[in-house]
Amino acid sequence: MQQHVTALEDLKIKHERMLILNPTSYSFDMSKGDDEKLRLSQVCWQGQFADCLSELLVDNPELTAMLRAAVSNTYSPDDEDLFLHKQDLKLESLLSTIYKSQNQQQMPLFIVLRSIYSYHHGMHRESWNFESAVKLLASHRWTEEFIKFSICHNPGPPFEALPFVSGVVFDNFTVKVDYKSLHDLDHNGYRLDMTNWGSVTIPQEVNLKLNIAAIIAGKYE
Amino acid sequence: MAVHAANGRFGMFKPMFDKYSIIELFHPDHPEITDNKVERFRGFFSNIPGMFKRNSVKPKYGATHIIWREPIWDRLQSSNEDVEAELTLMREHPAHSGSVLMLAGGDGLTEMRMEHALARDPRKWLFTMPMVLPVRGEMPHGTAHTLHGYWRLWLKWVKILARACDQTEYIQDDWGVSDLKQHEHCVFILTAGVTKFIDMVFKMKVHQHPRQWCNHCWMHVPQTEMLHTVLISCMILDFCICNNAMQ
Repeated sequence: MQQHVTALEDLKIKHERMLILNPTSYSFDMSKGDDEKLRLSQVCWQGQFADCLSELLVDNPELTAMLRAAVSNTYSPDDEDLFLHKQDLKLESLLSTIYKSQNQQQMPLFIVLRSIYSYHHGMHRESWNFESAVKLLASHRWTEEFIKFSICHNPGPPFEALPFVSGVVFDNFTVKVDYKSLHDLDHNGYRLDMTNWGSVTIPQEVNLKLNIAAIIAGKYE
Repeated sequence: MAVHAANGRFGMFKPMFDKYSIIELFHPDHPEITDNKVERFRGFFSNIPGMFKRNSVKPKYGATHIIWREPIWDRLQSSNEDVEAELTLMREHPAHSGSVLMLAGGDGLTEMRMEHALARDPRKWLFTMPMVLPVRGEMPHGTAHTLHGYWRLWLKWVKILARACDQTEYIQDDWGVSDLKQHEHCVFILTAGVTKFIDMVFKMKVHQHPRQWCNHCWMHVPQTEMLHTVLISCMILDFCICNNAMQ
């Protein structure tokens, strides 16, 4: 009898372990401070996410199998590979939400990328607050701070830059905000004027054939 | 008096020269003139496909590296004052203040205002670091929109050609400036196809004169399509000339 009880208890412990979500190298704990944030920033700047977006699935096979069983149906797709790829993304999203729900300081890469994407496209703040409350997104404030942090830690170009020569590009942009042809409110909208600009790094290999020393000496030839 | 000068003792022609004997050499249907015309026409078309070889070598340094900065609020580029204020801000930015030379890229209007600024005050923009060197963007927007309007006239025929070349993914009813490169690529492919066809007809040497060739085409190809074939060739040449001129 005692033997059966022990076996059942082992089974229970085993099942409980199976249901624990294991973090991966692409799961980030923000309670560890700026070092962890910097690591996340470096991963984001790399820009290659094809391998990172199935890490939670790979490292948690039992949970994945359970979720696959839960979402299975009788649908037979024309493109099997595409269907499986989309399903992997859905399950990764589910696991990311579970991981984020454990502790708000934990940031899976999937949610970080979705938050940056939503910020980039100017998601409505009320929708953001709702999605953040159910842990589909990070908070708006955290995302904004993280983007500013990452911009300060831009790793720079992957090539050797041309010394003493830099480049800028700029163009103007104007748009009418809250403008209506029929005014039924107190305000008439406003015009947003701006000039967007950016710094371009020029690679050493373009070989501009400039004699910088001559330019500094005032000999323009 | 002119007749007298031409025919007289000190005229431009030799004495006893029968000037009427050379009149037929200037006739538009003279064999030498028509042969030269045909030769130029043939040579022109046969050289066109070779003009559109695209460079398939990618740059070793990869994609352009650009860092977007905080927008300059309440400034546009519709006045010289705005552009100069923007250039000053960019020169003073820590990323550029240490440079000797700052390449500044913008559209045609911006470039014009920069050039005026340089001409007005070279001491400020050229003799102090960083020097400003204006660079025009590769394709001005106006050119793209003009081409768009031009191309739409023949879009129905362009679609037929694109379908024949299996290049339909590049063709849209309405495209933006950002799609221009794809359409440019498609136009090159279509141009090569059309001109190769015309060149092939010429090489048959059945028709010695472009007019004969046109008559032959009228008989074998539906008239509207033939007309479009010729017109699209002209349009594409216009496009290339315009593009090269702008660059």
